[in-house]
Amino acid sequence: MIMQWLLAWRYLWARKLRTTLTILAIVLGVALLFGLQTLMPSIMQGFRQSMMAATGNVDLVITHVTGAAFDQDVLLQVQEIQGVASATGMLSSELPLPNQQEGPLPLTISLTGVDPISIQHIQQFPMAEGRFLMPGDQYAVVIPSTLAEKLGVKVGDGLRLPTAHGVAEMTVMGILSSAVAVGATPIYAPLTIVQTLLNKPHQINAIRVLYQSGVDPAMVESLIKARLGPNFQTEPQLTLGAFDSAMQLGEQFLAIFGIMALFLAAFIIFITFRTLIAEQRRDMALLRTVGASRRTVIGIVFWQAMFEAILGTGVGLLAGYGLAWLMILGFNPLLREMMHIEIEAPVITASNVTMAVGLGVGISLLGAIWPALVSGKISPLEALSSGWDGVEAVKKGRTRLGYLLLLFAIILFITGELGLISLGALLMLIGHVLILPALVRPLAQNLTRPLSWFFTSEGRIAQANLERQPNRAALTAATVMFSTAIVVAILSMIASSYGAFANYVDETLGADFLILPSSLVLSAGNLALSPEIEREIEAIEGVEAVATMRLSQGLVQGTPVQIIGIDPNVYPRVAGLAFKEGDETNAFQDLGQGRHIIVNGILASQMGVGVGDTIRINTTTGEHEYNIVAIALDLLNAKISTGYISQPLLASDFQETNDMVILVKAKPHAHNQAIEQQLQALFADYPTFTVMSFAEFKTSMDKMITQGLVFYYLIVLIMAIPALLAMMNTLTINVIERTREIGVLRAMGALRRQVQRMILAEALLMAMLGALLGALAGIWLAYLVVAGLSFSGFVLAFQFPWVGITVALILGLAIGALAAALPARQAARLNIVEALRYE
Amino acid sequence: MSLVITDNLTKVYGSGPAAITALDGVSLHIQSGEFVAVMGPSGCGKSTLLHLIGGLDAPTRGGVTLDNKELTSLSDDDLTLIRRRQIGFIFQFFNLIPVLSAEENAALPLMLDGVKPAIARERARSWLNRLGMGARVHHRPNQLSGGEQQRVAIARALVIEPMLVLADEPTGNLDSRSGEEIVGLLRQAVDDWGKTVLMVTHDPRIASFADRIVFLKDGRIIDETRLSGIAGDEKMVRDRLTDI
Ligand SMILES: Nc1ncnc2c1ncn2[C@@H]1O[C@H](COP(=O)(O)OP(=O)(O)O)[C@@H](O)[C@H]1O
Ligand SMILES: [Mg+2]
Repeated sequence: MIMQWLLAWRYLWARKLRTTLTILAIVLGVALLFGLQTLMPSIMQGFRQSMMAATGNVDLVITHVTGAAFDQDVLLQVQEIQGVASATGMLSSELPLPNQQEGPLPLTISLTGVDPISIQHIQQFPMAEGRFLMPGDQYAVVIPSTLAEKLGVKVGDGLRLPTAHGVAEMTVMGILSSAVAVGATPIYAPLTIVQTLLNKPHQINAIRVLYQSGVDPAMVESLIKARLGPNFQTEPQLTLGAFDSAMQLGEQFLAIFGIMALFLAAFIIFITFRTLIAEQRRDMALLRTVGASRRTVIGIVFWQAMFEAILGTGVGLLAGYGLAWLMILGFNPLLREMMHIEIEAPVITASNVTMAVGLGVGISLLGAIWPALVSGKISPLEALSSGWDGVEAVKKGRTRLGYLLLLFAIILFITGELGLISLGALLMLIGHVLILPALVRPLAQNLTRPLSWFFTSEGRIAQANLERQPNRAALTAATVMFSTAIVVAILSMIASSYGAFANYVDETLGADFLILPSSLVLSAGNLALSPEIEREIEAIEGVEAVATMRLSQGLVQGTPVQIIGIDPNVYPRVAGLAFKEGDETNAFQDLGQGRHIIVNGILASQMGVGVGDTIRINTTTGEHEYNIVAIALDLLNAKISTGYISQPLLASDFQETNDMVILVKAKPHAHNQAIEQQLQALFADYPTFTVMSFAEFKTSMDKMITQGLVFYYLIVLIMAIPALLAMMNTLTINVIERTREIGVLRAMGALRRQVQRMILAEALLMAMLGALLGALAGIWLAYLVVAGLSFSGFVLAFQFPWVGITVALILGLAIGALAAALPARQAARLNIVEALRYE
Repeated sequence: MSLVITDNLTKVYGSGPAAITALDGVSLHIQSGEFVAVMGPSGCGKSTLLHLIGGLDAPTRGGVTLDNKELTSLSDDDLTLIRRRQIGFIFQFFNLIPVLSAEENAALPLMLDGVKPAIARERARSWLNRLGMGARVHHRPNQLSGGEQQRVAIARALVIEPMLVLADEPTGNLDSRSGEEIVGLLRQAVDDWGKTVLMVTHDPRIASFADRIVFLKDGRIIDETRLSGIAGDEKMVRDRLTDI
């Protein structure tokens, strides 16, 4: 045992650079896994605490299943139910606070209408200054102290709020001492006033219930449910169940990322130990000659792996903890500003340490198992034979299996079944790895030609060296392949979505001006406009037509869908929908008469319905049946399950008459600038809405997309790290193995930089090999993703990922060049005499 | 004219009490067109001498002059170019790049020097022909016998038309027949192709092919003898060795 440790330690110490690189691979995986694991509990804690503070001692919250507002008489029914101590109705809407006189705004607030008496039975409002709302208060608000400080307002000051009728001037009655909340800052005002301001008379969108003490909560809840029927949903408070499961999902997703990094680490360890066995072959044979057992030899390899695993995991834990802190410091200001959440120190628990250590050590050892077993098979005779020249053979059976898998993948691909296609993608990746060794020779020879423009004799030596160890080269190239495949897939998806976006914009937005709520994706949280404003816009000189979109929610088979109301006569003149099925002219005509609906692709595929079918939608006024006349979508709602009906139908079935989006078409040759100025003036009183010309809109969308891309580029860069480590590792090993050859080359007159270029050429060849196959695999993956999205109804046209391929090839070359830097330097610096004496 | 002059050449490895003086004040002249053998017990500094003369390593004291150029004053790149164009090396083993064919191995120094591959191969092939390897130009090293491998190494050393060939125990790994063939080729390089050869060997039989033998012990030249090229040389060398 002592002897095994000693030898294992000596071998590792003798190859410091390689040992470091292998350990780094483990560190990367463990750090990602552990860092995210320790971070999640404190993020959850942060969310939880602020949620508790915001909801008070409420037992149950009742909302309409669609999320829409409902008649406030429902409250009376709830109050009558046995076990209910008290219940209060609320109406709230998120809206941006317009710029007050000064101050760095806007910020989003949640305007909440409450009944001043009954709310206080359920929730306490500790006041810092002034008083809470009282019956008889009119344009009065109570705001949290944080907001008061930010705005610099005191009790008695005015506060301007955006409403359906323009800006309303409210008076601050009191300031609350605590103000932690998830999401928007709450501002409380009398219910009746909020109903007027939001143009929702006699409506509320939530009921808060407090039970009598001692009752069985489940019993009361089922009584309430029975009374209100399926249109209402109840949510017990303080269990935070839904929230927790959502967070757990996120946690799992992040853990998968860490585990993926660890598996790449295992792959790197596998490559390393494979070559390590090759290198120590003679020594091991010698040990066997002098009487070491197979187990002893395996033990030496095992302990090398064990040592690296332990050190890598240990450093990984520390790095992960540091990473968690860095993320907290980086994100806290943002979260504080946007969500009023403060994340505290990362949480280290016995279970997340155990998991990180277990996976880190376990997966590392997993990578070393196969090479260790191989080392046990080394025969003592090998010590006596002349030097191992390191020439590997390509296993024919493996190559055949690889081609078979690829064929199979293609067949699965043709079936068009999403599940089978996914399986095909996996087989395709494995197949590529299996056929890679056989491709090394032909590809290297072809790639050497372009390389020979820059590298002369060095290129030839590099190519020959690569061919000598096709398996090793293939494994290394495989890591590059994985990285580039993901890069190509991501970039191709971006290209496809961008193409789709551009298409939708041109197809569906013929308008010259748009008036949009602050949040681009429509939702109930946005404040609607009352319809009078439409008349005012039509009165502007040069305006040809005004189309509006109104929004409500419904429920199809228990799933929420959004319903958009349009005027079928005007809407097609101003904007349009991108039709996938059904005739455009007829569809709009049909929409004007009877219960007809146009659905988008997501809704159609979710419900498995097509043109000619009917769907039943649960609305605020009960369940109704609608005939589907077409499948089509508009840009803003491409990602949400959506149906389009006429505005009169929306008013009768959904009781919604307010506008959410206004599209304005100018007359030909009209003075566009003047129109825009008048529109701006008209909407100065509606700060939640933005007036934009079509061109402005397009650039603003472009900008948003570009910002989102940064995230993807980050992933692309992270994906490059394992490939870089693997490549460096292999090159370092190659240099060590060929020390004597390099010595001979130098003796007969190879310059230091020629040796350097030799290593560089080899790295570039390997990287290109991986990048080329990776690009190929990436195209498959990209197609798969686009196909998968189409299944879920978000139809994208597959765009050939030219950009992705170019980026992947460049990234591959960059990885190769970067990875070669250190080993090449090492090779060039070899002392010739020592290298010649080296065995 | 002296092609190689070493002047009080000294090489010390390490420092302090652990220092090893591998060469201790060796002064040696080698004439152009001469075949010199270096003999001596293992560890006496033979390889070190060859390395210093070949510019692979720098001496601790003293200097080496090759074709009137003082090597110690040259930069690493200049030394490399001298090795590439004026010196051919032959080693005992691990001499060839295993993944290149015989022809490519022999052409390597020319290719490193930027000679067009086709021309480099052509010249390598003609040398392999001269050395009796014409039929095996496309073989890889592991498909060749030890003697054949060494012929490829000689072709590689000669293909650059060097002034000086340095051979460190070129026959050390070969059976006696192959060994004699190899040293015969070195003899031919001197007699027919006008090269100068400095060869290290243990074997009196091999050494007897040389014009002159230098005996080294503990890093010093202790004896030197000129051979007559007749049958009694080998016995004479044997006697000398036992004396030492
Ligand atoms: N890099 C080195 N470091 C320390 N000692 C060395 C080194 N290289 C050679 N030596 C020592 O120098 C002496 C001469 O070595 P060498 O020239 O190889 O001898 P030979 O070739 O005659 O057998 C030996 O004692 C050897 O151990
Ligand atoms: Mg020696």
